[in-house]
Amino acid sequence: MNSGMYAALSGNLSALRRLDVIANNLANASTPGFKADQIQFESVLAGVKKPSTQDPSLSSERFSTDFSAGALQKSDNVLDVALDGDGFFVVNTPQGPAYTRQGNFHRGATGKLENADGYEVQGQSGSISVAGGRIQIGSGGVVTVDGTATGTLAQVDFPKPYALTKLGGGLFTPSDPQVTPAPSTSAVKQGFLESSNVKAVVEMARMIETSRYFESCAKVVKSYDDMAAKAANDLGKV
Amino acid sequence: MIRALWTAASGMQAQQLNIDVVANNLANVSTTGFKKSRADFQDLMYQTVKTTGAPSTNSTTIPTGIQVGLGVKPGSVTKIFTAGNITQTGNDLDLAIQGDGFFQVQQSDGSTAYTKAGAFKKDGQGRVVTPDGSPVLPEILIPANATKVTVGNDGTVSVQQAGQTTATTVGTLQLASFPNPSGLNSIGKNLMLPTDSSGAATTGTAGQNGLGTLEQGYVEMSNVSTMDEMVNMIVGQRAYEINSKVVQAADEMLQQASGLKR
Repeated sequence: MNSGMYAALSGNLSALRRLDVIANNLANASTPGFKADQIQFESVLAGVKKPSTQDPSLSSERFSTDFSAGALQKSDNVLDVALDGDGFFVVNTPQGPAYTRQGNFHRGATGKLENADGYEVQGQSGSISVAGGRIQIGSGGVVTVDGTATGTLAQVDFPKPYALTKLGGGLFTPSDPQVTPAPSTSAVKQGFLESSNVKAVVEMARMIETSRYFESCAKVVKSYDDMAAKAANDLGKV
Repeated sequence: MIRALWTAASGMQAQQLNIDVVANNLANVSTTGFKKSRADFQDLMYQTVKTTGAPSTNSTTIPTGIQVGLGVKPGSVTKIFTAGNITQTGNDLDLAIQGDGFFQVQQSDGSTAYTKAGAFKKDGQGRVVTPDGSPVLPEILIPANATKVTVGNDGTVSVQQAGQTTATTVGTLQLASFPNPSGLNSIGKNLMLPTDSSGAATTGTAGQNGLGTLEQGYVEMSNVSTMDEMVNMIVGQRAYEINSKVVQAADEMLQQASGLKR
C-alpha cells in the first residue's frame, strides 16, 4: 500500500546515522590526529528515488573518512611529534601493529616511547628508548637522547585512496589485512601536534541539513498516515 | 536510543575536563615552580555498521564500509615540563634550578617528595624548609649567628658567621631527576611523588650528570602562558557549545519521531 512510507522512514534512519557521525566528529573536534568521517547525502536521496531497484536505506550510503591533514599546532612538549605530509606512526598493540597520526607520545615506566594508551611507538628497529634528559627528534625522525641516537621513528604510508578502519584511540589499521604499508619520508616536527581535521562550521551546516532532512522525511511519513486515515475513516462514509 | 546524544555528551564532558585543566593552569599562573598541564583526547571505539571489503555481490566488494564513532574520551592529562621564567628576588634562600632536576623535601610521614619551587625559608631550628615547614633534604642547618648565607651553583651552602672572617660550609643541597618527569604524581603544595611511570629518583650534585645548576636569589615562576590558556579556553568553550547544539538537534529529531504518532 504505502511503500513510499518505508522509503521515507529509511530517510529518517539514515538521517539519524548521519547525525551520529556528525556528533562523533564534533565530539572529537579537539582530538589530535583525528580524521573526520562523512556519510554522503546525495546518494541517499538518489536511492530513495528508485526504491524498487535498491534498498534505499543502507546500500546507497557512501561512507568516507577525510584523510586531509589537520593544522599543525605548536605545543611546548618535547615528546609531541607531528608528520608534515602523508604517512602514519606505527605503534605496537597487543593485536599487532596499528597506525596513528596522534603524536602526543609519552615516556613509559621502562623509558620507552609510548602513546597515551601505553603502546610502544615503533622505530625502524624496534622500540625507541627516551630515558634521559635532553631529547631531540630530527625532521628525519631520528631520536637523539643526550647526544646519542637511540632510534628512528618508523613512518609508513598506504596506497591511496586509504582503506583504513578506525580502532579508536586515534589508531587505524588497514581494512584488508593483506595490505602492507610502505615506508614514507614525511618531515617529522618535534614540539608540534596535528590538530583534528574536523571543520566545525561544515559539521554545523551538515547538522542543520540533516535535521531538516529528518523533518521532511518525518513529514512524508505523516502524510502517508494522513492518507491512510482518510482512506480508513472518510472513504467508507456514505 | 540515539547514539548522537551520548556522543555529544562525551564531547561536552571532554571539553569540561579541558576547561578544568585550563582553569587550574590559569589559577596557578603566579605559583612558584608550577608546571602547566594539558588535556589530550582520543576517539572512543567505533561501531561497524557495514564492513569494508565484505562482498557486495559475487564479484564485487564494498570499497568503504560504515563505521560510526561513539565519541571522545580523555586520553591523558600531561604535565609539560618546560622551564618557567626565572625571576630575581634577591632573597638568600630563593633558589632556582637552571635545567633539569627537583629539590627533595621530607614530608611529615618521612617519605620524600619532589618540587621545583625553590622559595625556601628558615624555621625556628635554623633548618631550610619549604613554605609549609617541611625540611629540604639533605637537611641543612643554618647557625643562629649566621649573617649571610651563600648557595653555590653546585648546591654548596656556606654561611658567614658573626665575628668570623671566613665562610663555613654547612651542607650541600642535592637535586633529583627522573626518567619521565611527566609521570610524576602531583599532590598539591607544589610537591610531586614518584610513580611507576616516572621511574625512581636519581640524586646527584647540581650541574653534574645532566642536572641543572642552582641560582641563588632567583625563583622559577610558573610556565603557564596566559595567552595560550586564554586561546585554549575560547576553543574549549566553543567546542562545548557546539556539542550542546548536537544534543539539541538530536533531541529535536527525537521529538519529531515521537510526534509521528498522533
